[in-house]
Amino acid sequence: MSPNYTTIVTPIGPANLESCRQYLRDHAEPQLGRANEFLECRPLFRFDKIASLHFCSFVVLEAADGIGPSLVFEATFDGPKDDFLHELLQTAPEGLDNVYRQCIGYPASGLATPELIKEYFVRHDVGAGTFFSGCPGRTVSQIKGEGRIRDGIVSFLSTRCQTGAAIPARPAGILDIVLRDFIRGTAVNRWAEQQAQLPWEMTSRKWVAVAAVGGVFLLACCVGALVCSAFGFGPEALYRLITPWFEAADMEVATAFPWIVELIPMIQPSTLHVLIGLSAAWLVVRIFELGLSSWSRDVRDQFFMWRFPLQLAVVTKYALVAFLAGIVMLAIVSGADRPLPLPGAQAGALSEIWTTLGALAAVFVQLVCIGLLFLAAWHWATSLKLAVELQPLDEVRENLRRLALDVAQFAMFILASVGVLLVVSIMPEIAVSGLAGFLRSLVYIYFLLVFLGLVGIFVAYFVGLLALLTIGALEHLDKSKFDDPAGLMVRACDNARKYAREEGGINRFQNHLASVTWVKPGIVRHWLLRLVLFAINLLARFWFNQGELGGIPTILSARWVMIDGGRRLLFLDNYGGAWESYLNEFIDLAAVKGLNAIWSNTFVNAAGKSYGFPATRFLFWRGAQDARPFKAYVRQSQIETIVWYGAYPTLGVVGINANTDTRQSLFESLKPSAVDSLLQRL
Amino acid sequence: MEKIEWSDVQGLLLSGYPQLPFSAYLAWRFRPGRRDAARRWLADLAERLMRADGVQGEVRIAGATSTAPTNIRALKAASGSDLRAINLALTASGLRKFDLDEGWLSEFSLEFLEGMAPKPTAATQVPRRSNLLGDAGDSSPELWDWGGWTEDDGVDGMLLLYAADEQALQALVDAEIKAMDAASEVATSAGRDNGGPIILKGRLYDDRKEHFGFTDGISQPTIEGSPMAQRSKEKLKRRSAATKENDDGKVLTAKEQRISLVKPGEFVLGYVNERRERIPDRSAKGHANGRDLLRNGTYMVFRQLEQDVDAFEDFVSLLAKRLHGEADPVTEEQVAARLVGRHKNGEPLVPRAENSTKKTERNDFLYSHEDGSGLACPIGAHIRRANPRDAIGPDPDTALRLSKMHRIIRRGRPYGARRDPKEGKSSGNGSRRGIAFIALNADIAGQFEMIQHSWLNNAHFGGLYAGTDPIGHVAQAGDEFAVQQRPANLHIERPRPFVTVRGGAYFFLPGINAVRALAD
Repeated sequence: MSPNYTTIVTPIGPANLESCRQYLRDHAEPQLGRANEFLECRPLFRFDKIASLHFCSFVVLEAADGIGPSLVFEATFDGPKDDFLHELLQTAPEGLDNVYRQCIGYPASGLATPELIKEYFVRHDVGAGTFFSGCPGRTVSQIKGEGRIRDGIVSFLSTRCQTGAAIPARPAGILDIVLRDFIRGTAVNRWAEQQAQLPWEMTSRKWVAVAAVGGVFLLACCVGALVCSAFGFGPEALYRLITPWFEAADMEVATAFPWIVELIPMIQPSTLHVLIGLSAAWLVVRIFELGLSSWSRDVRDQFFMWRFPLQLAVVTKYALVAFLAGIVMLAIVSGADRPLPLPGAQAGALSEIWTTLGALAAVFVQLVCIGLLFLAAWHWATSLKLAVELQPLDEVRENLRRLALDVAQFAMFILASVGVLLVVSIMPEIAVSGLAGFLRSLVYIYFLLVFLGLVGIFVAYFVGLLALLTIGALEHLDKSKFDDPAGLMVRACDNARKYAREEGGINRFQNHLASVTWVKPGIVRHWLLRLVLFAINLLARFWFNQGELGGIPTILSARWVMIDGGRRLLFLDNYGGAWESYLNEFIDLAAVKGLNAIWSNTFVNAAGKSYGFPATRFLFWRGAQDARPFKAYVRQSQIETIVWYGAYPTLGVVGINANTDTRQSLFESLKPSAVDSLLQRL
Repeated sequence: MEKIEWSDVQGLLLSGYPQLPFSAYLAWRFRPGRRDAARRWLADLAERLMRADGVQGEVRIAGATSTAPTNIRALKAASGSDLRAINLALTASGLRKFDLDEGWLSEFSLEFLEGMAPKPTAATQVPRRSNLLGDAGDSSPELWDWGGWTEDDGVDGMLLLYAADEQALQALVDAEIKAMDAASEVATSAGRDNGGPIILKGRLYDDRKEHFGFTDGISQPTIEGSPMAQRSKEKLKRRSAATKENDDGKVLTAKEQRISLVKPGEFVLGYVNERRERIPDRSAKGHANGRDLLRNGTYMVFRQLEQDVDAFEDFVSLLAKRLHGEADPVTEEQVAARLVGRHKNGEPLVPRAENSTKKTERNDFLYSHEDGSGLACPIGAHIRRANPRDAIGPDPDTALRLSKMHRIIRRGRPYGARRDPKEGKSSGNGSRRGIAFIALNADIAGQFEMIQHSWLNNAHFGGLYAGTDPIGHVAQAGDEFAVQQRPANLHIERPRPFVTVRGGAYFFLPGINAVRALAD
């Protein structure tokens, strides 16, 4: 059960705009508390009485370019929307009536018919195209309660320490005391014993990802099959091509390099040659990949033209590994299929038994050697991994290290395969002779799938390249259509009043950002933005549900919604910390790509000119990395948050998630190190 | 790599003038209607300002001591008691007196134009900037001695004067007041000593300790392309020859370079910064009269921070009693070190790595691998908050890269008499002491302010739950200091802050040519 949301956009008479704004400021905006409460609601708008409400805010959209002014009410809450609206109307009937009476289309009967008002709200609810929550699945009471539990444990331990009571030396002992005396022993805290139910999207995040990758692979296979069929190679035809290819390769390579065949007689030459060929190909691709990948993790070091071949190289690398695994399987099947190479089958002669034993011993010695080599490779790989734990290397050495690590891991893989082949070679013949043939054809089908998947992915990349080139052309055209947002920097003083509330008063810990931008004209931009919002929504729901959105750990709740028939993009965001550092996180980390993908489709109007988003390159790159124009753009697009309410205004996302972790792990059986880190977190 | 025009940069950026331990910070304002006199004064002053390096081809006559050196290289070589250094900084209001209708002022950053303490308006009870900086309560600009809300007309600029001894400093102050008399006057205080001149006397003691007793100014960023960075790089290259100690100054080890080397654009305007941008960028080039006032300049943050040494020491001894059972110099030293993150002699709490330098004031440490959980140096300790190195970010490498975008060069010095240890606690109340905090950076919002609000004043810093910088000026309900330790962390509530802001302003430290251009 993720937090629910509503975004009610209602048109408002232009004449009423200013009075409505003033009314909200005077009667709805919560105040900095004087007593124990940090935030104090006004009598007409007791948001704090609504137990399910996380955040809510009011903003006003000014009339612009043929679109009338409107009032926006945004809320994030638990439970069904219907219940929330009902509760809202019960809690603040008079205040809401005073506000919405000034809106167009509001039922004339007003307070007498709350059902009609609710229906009015539902009719104007635009929801959210993309919604993100920093702590999904937690109710308001749970977040507050877990905060109290954490504070309680801290002060409980502090009191214990101060009074000089005996403190167990072991962390586990301390945890036991906390559980016994503070949680179980205190009636108000006993609820924390229950495990909190987290939404399935959070708990089965990995499985969803695996399913998604599998789905994408199957899709790629289908695309590959279609493309191959189009060129006259249907899956069946390809299958018939694969089988004889191995036999043919076998003969040719065996005549070319007879010494290899003599070296390892156990393995069929065909498999061996393909194995060696694939290994060499893999090594080449990997070197190519390392050459392309930039050494630093700075997003500014990534360039579109390099990313493309790089990602293809990665895909090719994995395909080669998949082929290698298939080859090994094939070898195992073939090894099992062959008549037993050892001559011990004929009973009788003692000498032949000795020969058999000798052969077995030889295999055993070979196995031990391979085992030792495997251990050596393992040691090498581990020490390479540990080498950068304490001291990072410079760029060139770091890449050499990565290559060496890959070679070590690859050697481990090959050695393990050879070991398996050796074991298989001395196993008795498989009783069911049909099985080997069946297994072999399974492996061939596997080859076919990998091949089709690879083709599909390459085709997808080709289509993607065309799409990005189209976007690149659009970006080039935009340069002449829109002014450089650097020109917005001089407007900083004019925009300052929009954000006067930030970082002070009730917004000392949590802030609100409301922004409205125009979507660039044209069907491509419109659908591109819809596609990006859809993709980010999926990611936010199924992958970024652990408190971070693309590595940004400060967003409490954010929504994007296209309004006015897709002409404008409304963004409403509750975040922790200060505006400056919040934007810096986007600018300097990889999340900049998502940000660019959304807002590069937008522009803002100021002083009769249209300013585009800082120029992106191929949708994802540059853009917001031009920090100063970008910040000026955000300030220009920002609108004043007139009313803001947060149910837990002093907490941060990190703190909320840490509190849930603390509470969840209290009653799990933990390892001593986990207990230690639990106590360290408090 | 880009060459920096050091001879056009004011010397304060490269040096805190350790050879000139006596200093005076003199705030002034232009006399109204004397623009011509002001131009003459600035033109004359421009030639006397201390530069970061000598001008190419400048005739240097050996032994000629008639004129005091005006660049750092010459200053280091010279000796004598008549040595001095002068630097000049201007506020937005000072620049406004020159920018009448040309409009070049808008190229300066918003926070500089707005000032450190913009006056409250009807719409905003407390301006956003004061909220950001945590200037509330006792530190509210309402109560400041200067630069706050009560002044009618603010400070236009500041002269930073440095001399070798007290008499020389006094002579220099008198001479400079006389030189500017026709154009400007010393600004007067609005606060406690109403009407008194704003001349703050800074003093760099031999032990480099501030009033709480800690060695100050140890960790400084090093500008790539500065003489020290060049020396260090060269030394690293010819490592074999390194056995021979050079006497041409300090060098950085490889690890120190990794930690401290920062792109010039973070501190000098007009060069590439850590974001690979240039402030001002291309769009600012080529305006009306072809002057580029920002080039080779930087912004200077000046804050007068008063320190209540008695309250600090009371708190420390109270803590020592609570933690160690008794308060003696040893336990007090340990407790105080926990608050700051370094011992009083400058030695950091982060344990020494194997190949670390042997110096006590060493600065070659990182947090992520060396003390990730804060067991040695608490996460909320002052030095960890002020410069988290590689601790705040998705991974240590990225974190270190990010933290380099938020560094400042500190040139502050203590002011006021040192408290005599023998002096009774009650008698010390009369004297005012503190630190004249000076920070140099190219982007006040991204550097000084960001450090202030997102690190020092941030209750959620590094996964903490409550509390701000233990020796900061911010007071919040439920202020605490958490000491990470085993078996369970210790949470200590902190009483009211020991530091109070008494005044301050944002300045622009122009390049020499920019001063000349203003005087033109």
